[in-house]
Amino acid sequence: MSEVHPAGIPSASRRTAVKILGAAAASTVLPRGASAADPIKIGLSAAFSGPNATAGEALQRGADLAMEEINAAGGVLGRPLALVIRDNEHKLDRGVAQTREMIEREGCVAMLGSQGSFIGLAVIDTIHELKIPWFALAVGGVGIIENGRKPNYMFRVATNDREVAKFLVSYGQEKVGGKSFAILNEDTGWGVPAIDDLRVALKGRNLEPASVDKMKVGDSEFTPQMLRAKNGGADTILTFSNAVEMANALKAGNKIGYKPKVLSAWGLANPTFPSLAGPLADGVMVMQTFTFVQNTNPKAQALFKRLAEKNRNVKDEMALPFPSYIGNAYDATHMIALAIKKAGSTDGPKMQAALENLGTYGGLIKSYANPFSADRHEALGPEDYSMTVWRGSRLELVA
Amino acid sequence: MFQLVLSGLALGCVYSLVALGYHLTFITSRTLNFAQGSAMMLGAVITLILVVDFNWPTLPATLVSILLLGVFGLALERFAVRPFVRRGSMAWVMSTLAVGIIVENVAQLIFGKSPRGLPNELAQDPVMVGGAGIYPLELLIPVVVLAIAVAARLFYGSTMLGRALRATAFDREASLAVGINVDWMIGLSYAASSMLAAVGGVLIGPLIGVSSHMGFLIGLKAFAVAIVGGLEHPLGILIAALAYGVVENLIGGHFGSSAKEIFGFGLVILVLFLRPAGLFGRTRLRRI
Repeated sequence: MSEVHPAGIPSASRRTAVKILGAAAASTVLPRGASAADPIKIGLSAAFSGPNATAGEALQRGADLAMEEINAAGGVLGRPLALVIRDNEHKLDRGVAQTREMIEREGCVAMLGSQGSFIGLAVIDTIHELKIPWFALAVGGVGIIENGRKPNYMFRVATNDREVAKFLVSYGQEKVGGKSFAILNEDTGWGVPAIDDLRVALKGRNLEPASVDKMKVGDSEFTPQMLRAKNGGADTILTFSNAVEMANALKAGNKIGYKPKVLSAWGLANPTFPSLAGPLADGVMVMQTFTFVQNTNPKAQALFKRLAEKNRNVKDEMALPFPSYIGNAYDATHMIALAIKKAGSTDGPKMQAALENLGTYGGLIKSYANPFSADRHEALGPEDYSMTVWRGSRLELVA
Repeated sequence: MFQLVLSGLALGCVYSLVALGYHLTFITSRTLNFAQGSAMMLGAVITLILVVDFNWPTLPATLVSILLLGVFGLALERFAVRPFVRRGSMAWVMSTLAVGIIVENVAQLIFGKSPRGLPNELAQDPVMVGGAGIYPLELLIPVVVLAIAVAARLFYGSTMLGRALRATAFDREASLAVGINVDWMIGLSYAASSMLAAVGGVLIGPLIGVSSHMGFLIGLKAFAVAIVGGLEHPLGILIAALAYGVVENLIGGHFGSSAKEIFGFGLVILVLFLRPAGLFGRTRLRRI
């Protein structure tokens, strides 16, 4: 009964859809004879139904955008790229089974990874047995990357929970002027381990949390948690949580006259947050790796234009939820294409070696110089994190 | 402490609205409408769509949503309950559950996958009551429940339709014999139960957010309080619901929100063990 998780109606077409994006367009520019080549498949197993569905769609958007560009430029090794999608419904068993099925049956040569750190941790064995690179794009679980394998097939183009915790604490102390911090995380495989990450980050600055609490997903009454934070004297709340729970916590805080500053991991980037929390959302800060809002990078602006042309509902930047996931998936897809090119092959071990020596790649989130090495499988670090803040219904960059 | 009791009372009132729906269909037809949770969700979702997407004022949107849920209840009884009850089958358990699940998934397709906020001025700025903060809407909830209770009493006591409903609940065969359209009465009880759930959804929506899966747990808790209070005892249900809301909040306050359901449902089992017919129910004598 812990997570109220509707089964959703996974559409058959989505589950089985093999998207050959721009394959037709690519065939016109490919060298003679190569048009008949089979596409190189990259897998994306993520939650496309249930409460985490919008995050899955963001991952797909990012991968789609990158593949269109790669295929328009002739594909890789004369073959177009294709994205194979499965809905894992945010479930561990489905995530693991799909990963194996997509690699063994569909022949995917790299996997883009799901929401849910527990899924990332669970596929480590399968991935190392099948020797196919797996990319963490929407999860920060430390153990996914630091898994003790050599060679390591797990890569991350996303935030790392331990680094996020440090980032939130240092930002809270230095930029926001927080003196006393409360920890309020959701009661899940993401939020609970991050409690320790936050404790360690606070300890690193000789701080003890004013209160430490969990919010059960699906629960609506968080007055006790907010009372403890208030009575503990916390002026700032650090949180790894999602929009509904934190919105309800803020409403509970409002009732007891407690309006702390809030610094959050990516969860509160969900565009539904201001509609749920109302005016209480104003000023809540969310850490991100990428956003289209106020982004002056021409590459980001061009991508936004393409997304808006493709989808009539995308009227402004806020119509694209979880921009960090779009950015992460976009950059990871390009890195995979580069690795295949460099390896001259879609062989897993060769790609793994190529990824660890990729050279430079001018990406969307930043320009990467050797994003990965044999000891470093995190493409992004705290220096790449940016802070955004809710103002009305917009999540804006903090100047 | 007082803070937790106050919030718990408001939540308990919502449980009572949904739970009284179980009571209504049970007394008229000895069946239970397991789509109650989904009806609650549907009431909130329809109101939110009218208010947010179509810019309706809150009150007409609420009324339309409640009326639509009345139609939903009638249809549910006609197509998912009556055919099975006629054959003396228990399949209505499955069919009402199934309708609930279908409704939830259709709502997810139409309404979207993420929860949304239902704006309401009464849930913006808290007021102070005895040193504890509370949203005006939370104070309105008990008032609405009380008004419904009084209206129901008047309806049962002094209208023909109300008396016919009571007669049906009292003795189905005798009611048939005196010319009461029992089928119609049962249909009405389903409509009323869905409408009560919708009222609950509209009241709780602005406080906790609206999503296609919001009805499941509340529907289940409401069923628990209906059983604990005694399916045939509206007053018992009301008391059980309020007690459940308060106790659950106090448990959450002291042991964390993960302990809520463990203790809450554990308590339900304990009560039923001690009093199988519910807190206020009397064990029926069965003639053989």
